[in-house]
Amino acid sequence: MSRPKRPSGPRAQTPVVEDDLHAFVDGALDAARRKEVQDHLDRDPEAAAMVARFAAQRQLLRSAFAPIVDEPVPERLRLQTLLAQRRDPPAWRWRMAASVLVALGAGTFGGWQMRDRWEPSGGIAALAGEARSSYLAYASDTAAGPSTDGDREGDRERLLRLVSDKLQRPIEIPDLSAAGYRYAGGRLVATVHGTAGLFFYERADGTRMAVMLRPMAVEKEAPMMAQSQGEVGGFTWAMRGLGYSVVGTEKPGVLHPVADEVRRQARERAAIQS
Amino acid sequence: MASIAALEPLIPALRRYASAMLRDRDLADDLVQDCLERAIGQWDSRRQEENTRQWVFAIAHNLIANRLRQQARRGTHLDIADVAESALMVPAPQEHRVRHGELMAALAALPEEQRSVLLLVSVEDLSYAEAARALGIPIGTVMSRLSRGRERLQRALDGEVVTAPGGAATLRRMK
Repeated sequence: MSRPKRPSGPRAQTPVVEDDLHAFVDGALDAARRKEVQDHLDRDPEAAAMVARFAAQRQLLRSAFAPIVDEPVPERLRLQTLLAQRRDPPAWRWRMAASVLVALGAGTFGGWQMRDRWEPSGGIAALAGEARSSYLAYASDTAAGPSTDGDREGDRERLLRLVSDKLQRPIEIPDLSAAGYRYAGGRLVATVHGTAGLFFYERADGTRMAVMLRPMAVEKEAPMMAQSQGEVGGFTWAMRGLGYSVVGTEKPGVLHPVADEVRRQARERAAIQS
Repeated sequence: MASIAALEPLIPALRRYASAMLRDRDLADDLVQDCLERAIGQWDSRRQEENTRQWVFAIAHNLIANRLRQQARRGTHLDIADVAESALMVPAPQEHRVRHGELMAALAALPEEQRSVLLLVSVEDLSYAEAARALGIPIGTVMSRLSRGRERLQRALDGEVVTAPGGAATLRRMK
């Protein structure tokens, strides 16, 4: 199709060209010009058919790609996450500098269903945020995984001693083999509310999840709460002064039974100890 | 001057545009992350009268164009059938599935320069002037690419055999 330029001059004399048909389809014409083009289409069935095809095509494209904008934005693409990463040194630099990393408090990451704005500072909502940011910092990146190897008994014992020492209480690594998760290693993580132990688990298909434990200064007893934001979700609670958070990218339906199992084992140990 | 929070509502659209251009959701999200990091980094030095959406789409588009050039150099090539099947992973309603696959394949067969204009204008609602500035081309070029893109896409959807870029592949109507 030839594409003549629209000549300049008074509007009433401006012929309708192909660009006008596209602009009509895209709603890019002002009301006066739109009326002129509409009048032209009423007289020119060929142009009208073309406009109808292009309008249908436009609608087809829009509806084909519409589902993407309705999806939740992944955590790593959220503005708050990206801004927080700029404010604080990138995790990889920290990993090189030190094995103990200061996890960001829950308040740093927006969008939590429960925030410590109205929760006591350092409570389970904060723990949920810490578990989540630690998980994002370590577990999502295989290269930055656990500082100890779950397969090596010496590593495991050393980590347990370290964690028990720092958390000032005997800590056990939950056994989640019944749920299909193999202990893959762990590390100490410093949070703004104290040191925490972070244990990683892996399923046969490579799916990872983690359990975080830290002493609770407030909310020493708290029922299990569900958390989810972006791709990472989990369950957090507190018992006898110790907070627990089970985090991962699996669906709540997968993580919930795992959290129940961690809680059951903790209760069992508590019953033995008392 | 707009606050940097003005970037937030654009993120879903950037993901959509990058997905449609790259035909790979993970790659698209990596690219959007890169784009947002750059946008945040350059936020204070951007021209203040700049339209945020056009500016951030320009960053995204440059990254996409680089990525597609790299893919072309390395010979990374997406099979058109795969594109239709799964690369976009946009769920389509059952009754539209055939039409949807057809559309994705037809879109994939368009030259990149036509696809970008078509998507920015038809899907992302950039004005012709915004699309021109985002792509760094004159508005007349936007119009001619839009026109060629729409005609070509229409021929593909109407079932004509269309030669893919480079003439390597052909696309037939799928029944």
